[in-house]
Amino acid sequence: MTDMKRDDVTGNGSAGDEVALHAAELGKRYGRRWALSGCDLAIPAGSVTALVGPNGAGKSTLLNLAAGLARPTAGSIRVLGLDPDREAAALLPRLGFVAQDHPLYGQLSVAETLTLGRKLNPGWDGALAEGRIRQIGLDPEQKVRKLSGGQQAQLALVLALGKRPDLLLLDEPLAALDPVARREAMGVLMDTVADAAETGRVATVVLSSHNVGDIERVCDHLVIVNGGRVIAAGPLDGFRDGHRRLVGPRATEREIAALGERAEIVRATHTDRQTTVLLRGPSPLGAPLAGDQWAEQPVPFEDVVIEYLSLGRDPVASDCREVA
Amino acid sequence: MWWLTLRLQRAELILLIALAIGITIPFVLTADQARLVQEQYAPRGFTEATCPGDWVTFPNGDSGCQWVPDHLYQVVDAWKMGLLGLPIAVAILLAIPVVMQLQLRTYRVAWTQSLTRGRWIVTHLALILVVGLAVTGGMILLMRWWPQDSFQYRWGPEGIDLPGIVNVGWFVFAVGLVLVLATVLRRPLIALVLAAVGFSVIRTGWTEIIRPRLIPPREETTAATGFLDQPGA
Repeated sequence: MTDMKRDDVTGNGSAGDEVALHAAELGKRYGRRWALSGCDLAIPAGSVTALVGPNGAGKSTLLNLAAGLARPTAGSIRVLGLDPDREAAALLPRLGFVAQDHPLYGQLSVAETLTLGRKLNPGWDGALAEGRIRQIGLDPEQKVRKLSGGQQAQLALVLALGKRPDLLLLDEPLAALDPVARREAMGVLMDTVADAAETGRVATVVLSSHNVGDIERVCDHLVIVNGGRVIAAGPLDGFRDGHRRLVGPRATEREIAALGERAEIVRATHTDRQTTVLLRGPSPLGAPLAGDQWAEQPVPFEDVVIEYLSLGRDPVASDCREVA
Repeated sequence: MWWLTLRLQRAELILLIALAIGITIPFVLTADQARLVQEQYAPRGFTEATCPGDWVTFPNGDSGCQWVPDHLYQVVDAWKMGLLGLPIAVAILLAIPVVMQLQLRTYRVAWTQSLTRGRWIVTHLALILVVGLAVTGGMILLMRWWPQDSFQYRWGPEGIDLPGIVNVGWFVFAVGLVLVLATVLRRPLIALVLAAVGFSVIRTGWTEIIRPRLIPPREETTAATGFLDQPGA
């Protein structure tokens, strides 16, 4: 994504004026493979932002770079205005992170894991953490290694939340949870942001997820990553409400180009007899596509996301889109 | 961070303390016997080696060589083998929690709390070194306390430097070897086995090949007296 301005991402500005995470030409290479390249991104403070992309798209790499667990190969990243690598001591107390495999020390008990949180974090909120443990129904004396995958994920989330972080980075934290627990955990994330606002703080959540339903319910911003690049980014409303699909007889390249002058074409696909165009912006129906043969359809949010993800497979169309 | 480090090392520390106690007890129990050997033996200017090899004895008054309890020799020989392997054993035992964190990538739990990576590694290394140096250093002190003058010849070339500070140096080397292999290989079992084998090869190579070229062996001839009076000699 090039030349992204903060306002492009913050949209209507409801998410706040500050940027919680800013990446510029960020790249990370493992051996010969670029896991992330040319990533420009600005995530507004106070937002609940979803990172969406297929497996291996670069989401985890981006989050690991933000958490200071990896160093960039190219470009730069600043989190809460700080360099995660060089200013880790100042950043870490303000940062919560749950990795995809939610690592925990298996030999510790649940209670000892909370003690770990208290000992290692000056801003530890013991009441919040213990309350959440009771709510989940975990036995404090149980060894972590004996917990189920879902319970371990919940405990990892509690460890991150107990820090009362200004920025919470979650790498597919809810994948191991059952639907009820997932819904509950999503509620906790929203409460985190709301509670912070009540106390005059600004809390930001960045989570990667494959579950579009959860994202639509909880998040207010969306970043789509594919092939190691940021394909599109912006407020979720812009993705959900700003797109439409035109379906009609096979159109020529000239007709598609003419359409592109009046609305932004996200993606056009053709069969022998039919053309389907996903576009963003107000309805452009009229010449040269006017006619009864063309139909305009609303596009479900999930379809919009999938269409954007499909862009990543097409190198010609893989430049980043800013969705306002 | 100390709380977490001690908690993660708890099992290994208990095992190490048990090991140290297990090594110490035989020496405490045999110290009086060893002192008796030394007191009756050293003033006559004999060296224990002057008694026949399999007929292990020490001079006692006018009756010539007397039997030295075999277990003293067993203890000393076991001690030698134990001390030769002690640095790598202690290094492996203390490094296991760090190695397992590298393997399971659970270090990320600590690294994403309000704790820098620098503090994490410094605390772990500090604990490993302090405990390891205490154990290896403690063994040296134990060795110096135990009346071992009459048994020194049993150290042989490979253990001649054991009463000195050299074992502490070998321990520091062993810790470095274990951690480097574990970091590079990311396979704890393979790393620990390779470290043990590598340490043995390097230490043996140093003792058998390199050291004799740096410091020529000292030759000493001692008159064989005393044991000739032994019945049957």
